[in-house]
Amino acid sequence: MDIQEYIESGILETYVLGSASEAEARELLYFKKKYPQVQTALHELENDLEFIAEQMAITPPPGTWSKIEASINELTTVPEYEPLRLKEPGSKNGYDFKTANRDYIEVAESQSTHMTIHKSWKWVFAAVFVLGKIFLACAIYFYLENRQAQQQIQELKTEFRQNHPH
Amino acid sequence: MLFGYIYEIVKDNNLAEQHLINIYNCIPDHINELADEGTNTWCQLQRLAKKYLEYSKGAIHSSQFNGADLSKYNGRNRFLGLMTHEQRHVFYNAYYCGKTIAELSKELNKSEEIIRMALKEAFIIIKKG
Repeated sequence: MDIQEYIESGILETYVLGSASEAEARELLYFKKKYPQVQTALHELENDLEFIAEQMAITPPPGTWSKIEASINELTTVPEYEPLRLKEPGSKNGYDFKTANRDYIEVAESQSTHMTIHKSWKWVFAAVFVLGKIFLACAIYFYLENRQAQQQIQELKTEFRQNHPH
Repeated sequence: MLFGYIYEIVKDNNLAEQHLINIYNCIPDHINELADEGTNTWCQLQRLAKKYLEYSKGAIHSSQFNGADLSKYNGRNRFLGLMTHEQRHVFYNAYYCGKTIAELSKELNKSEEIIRMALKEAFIIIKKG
């Protein structure tokens, strides 16, 4: 393959914009390692993208940075989540924002597998816990009541035998 | 830079600001990838933003593009005004809407080679300014 022709084909531009297919991205990454020209061209294109973004930049509204700062500070109080995987465009496993959905609690089942449950289940767990405590208290109460009744029966039987000898 | 990119997609100042804050919240999880030598930090950040918007908006693809109105391509958008309608359509939809070459090929009823070349030409126009 003529590598210059490959560079001129527009595939590099497609790749940097994340519009390449998986197969195209795989092929490009292979050529990037093999041919320094591809690497250089790709580097130039990435710089071009940065240039485009600079030209099209808009100043954010005043106060945006303090909001970002406050939001990041809030994050320190939230438990850590598994980081999202950052991949090259066109790769099979790109960013997965579903894993960052804060409506779900990650429950570790073992070292290798995980179970995801909805946050609403915490109320079910709390109810089960409270009901468990109530049942336990009832069981102890009825056990003691039963033991006391058995003792009373035993006493009555003894008393009866003493009052009515054969 | 990132605010301008997001704004162009959502076309709403408050929404763009909120998305910007949320994207910054994701950065601590990706700091190693973003600071990785050999990769352009801006490109990585833009990919992160694009993926975030795809997920949170559910339809980054729904970002509307009306290439006919040339009057709005001034100042920061002047590059778009220098492109042909086809180049502009391809560049805008790939850059902002995240459409693939295959999707654009089908949409414009042209071969993928032609779409790739249109994108390449759009880059050349931007480079020349």
